[in-house]
Amino acid sequence: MLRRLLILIFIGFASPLLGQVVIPSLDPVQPTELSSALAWRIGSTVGVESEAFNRDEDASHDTGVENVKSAVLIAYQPGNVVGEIYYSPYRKTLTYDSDYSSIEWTDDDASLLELRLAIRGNRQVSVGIGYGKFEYSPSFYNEKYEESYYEGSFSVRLLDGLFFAGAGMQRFTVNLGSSDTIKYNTLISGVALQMGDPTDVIFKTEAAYKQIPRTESENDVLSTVRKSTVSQFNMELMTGALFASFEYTNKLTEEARGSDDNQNDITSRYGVGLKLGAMTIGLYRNAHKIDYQDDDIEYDTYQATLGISFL
Amino acid sequence: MRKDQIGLILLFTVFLILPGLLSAQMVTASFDPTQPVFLPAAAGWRIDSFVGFSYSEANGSRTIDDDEVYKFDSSGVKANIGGKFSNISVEAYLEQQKTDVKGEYLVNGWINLDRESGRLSVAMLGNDFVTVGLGGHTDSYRDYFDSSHDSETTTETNVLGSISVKAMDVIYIGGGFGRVKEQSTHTVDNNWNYAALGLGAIFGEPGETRFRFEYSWANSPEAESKRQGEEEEAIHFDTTTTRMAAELMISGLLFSFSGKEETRKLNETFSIGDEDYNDIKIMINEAGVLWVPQNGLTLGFYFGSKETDFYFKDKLSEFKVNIAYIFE
Repeated sequence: MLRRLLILIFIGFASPLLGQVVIPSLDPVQPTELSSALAWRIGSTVGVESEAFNRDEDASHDTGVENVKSAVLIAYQPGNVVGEIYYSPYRKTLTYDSDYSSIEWTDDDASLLELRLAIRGNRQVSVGIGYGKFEYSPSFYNEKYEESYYEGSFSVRLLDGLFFAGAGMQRFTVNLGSSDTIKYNTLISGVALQMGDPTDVIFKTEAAYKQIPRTESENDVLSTVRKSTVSQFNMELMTGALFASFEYTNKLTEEARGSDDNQNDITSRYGVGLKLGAMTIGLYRNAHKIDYQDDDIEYDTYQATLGISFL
Repeated sequence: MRKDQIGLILLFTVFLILPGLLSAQMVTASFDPTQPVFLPAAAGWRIDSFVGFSYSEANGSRTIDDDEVYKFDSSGVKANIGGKFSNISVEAYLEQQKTDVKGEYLVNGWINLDRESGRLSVAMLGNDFVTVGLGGHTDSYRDYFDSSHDSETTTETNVLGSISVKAMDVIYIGGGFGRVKEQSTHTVDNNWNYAALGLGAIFGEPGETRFRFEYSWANSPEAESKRQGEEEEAIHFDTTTTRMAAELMISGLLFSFSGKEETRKLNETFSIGDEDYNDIKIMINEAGVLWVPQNGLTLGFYFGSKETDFYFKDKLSEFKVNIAYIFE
């Protein structure tokens, strides 16, 4: 039973807790969370992304750097309709002991595919639809874990493009082989501010909030989805060829692991980037902290993006 | 009484419990062109020609006494095409829905396995004051009842006419009348009539902020055809349906809410243990957001729920994506 519980409780994935909710990142390789944000992209993009973990930071393991995630993103914008494909065929999963004595990245097969489509109307509103599927074959369990969702969202652009607001819903279905299913809806909303000119100096900031309800599994094989909230704040500045970004994400899980205590998963991401003509390069440090009861665990991952954009 | 006996008894007393379509378009047409009208006169208020498609997925379960006995996973495709030719509107709608059922089929009772529906509506607009419409609907259902009736097909053919009148530029009042013929692979043919009344309001002009509201009521009395030879008797229960729709369009962004509640009165009280059941309630609700320009591509989504409340409870959640093109 403990191993079954591990599937939902003691794992983490090499990805941010939330993507861009209201408007897209200045780094065109960063995927959106709500598809309606996609409509505010400028041009089309083809990009790749890689995330690494420095094992020197965990004394219980060998030294060296290992790749924990690879992904490709394609965004195509022929007019006021925009499509985005985000595919991560290689993702390591992070497991950690319940007493936080060690962490480990496992090589179990895991992949993520996300498809999004959005339409922009009158340069004032956008509506988007999305689909995502995450597949994971844990070595400690003989059935495949699958998580899929449908998403619908919209956003509005106000005050001559200065202010944006968006909201959406994701309908999740989680399957563990044929043994069990959990279904739940998440609500996501956010506001954003954007000032400047993309060809000169531009500043954007965004605050977003995601709500995940407590949901019981149908056959008690999967662990219950705990009620949780994700708060995210980010800001980005681009001046000519350089850009810098900061993002803070906090996932608060109530009654984590069946106890009365909450768990905080905090990620602070610091990034710098370079835009050389059509090419964009981004380098990020993700500082993760998992805080539960009197114990906590900290680790860093490093992310690099490379994208080619064209109008 | 054992659960596996319940459905067998119902087979010969209750017959079909069909959730049908929401279609809260009785006297006015939705701002969303992928939503089909029910009464044909409503199509007369469409402004442009269009073609629309929709794909939906739903899942849920059936419970008896809080025990889950079936899981449902269904998907469907829909197409709605409308043409506006001077003051004549023609609208054609097709839908196909399939449901996968997980369960041991130990508990007998109705389960819809797939459904095909088609509608044709023709409406004529007179002086921007009144529309008169004629239409035809066909609904074909393949259902599971028990191990000896595991794939029975029922076809309903519905011929209907309706009228919708506009008053004070914003109020719409109308009604319709239809006759349904039911044919089944395991029961005798059956026929019944129904009447519908609706009240609607539309504020705002195309291109501006617009608001639409509609409430309607429909009733069909009980109809029964006696058993003949090996074909079972067919019963259509006294059915009352209320529908409501509210739509708000701001700068082409459409927020849509609609609901339908159907109550079927049983011809006699149905009892299981200490519980008595006199009717079956079916509730369908959906809410969506769409981009709907005056002309061009539209895109949007709906989240919905369907519930059947009887000695069993069916609950399904649905997600639907819509795409359409509105012609000038």
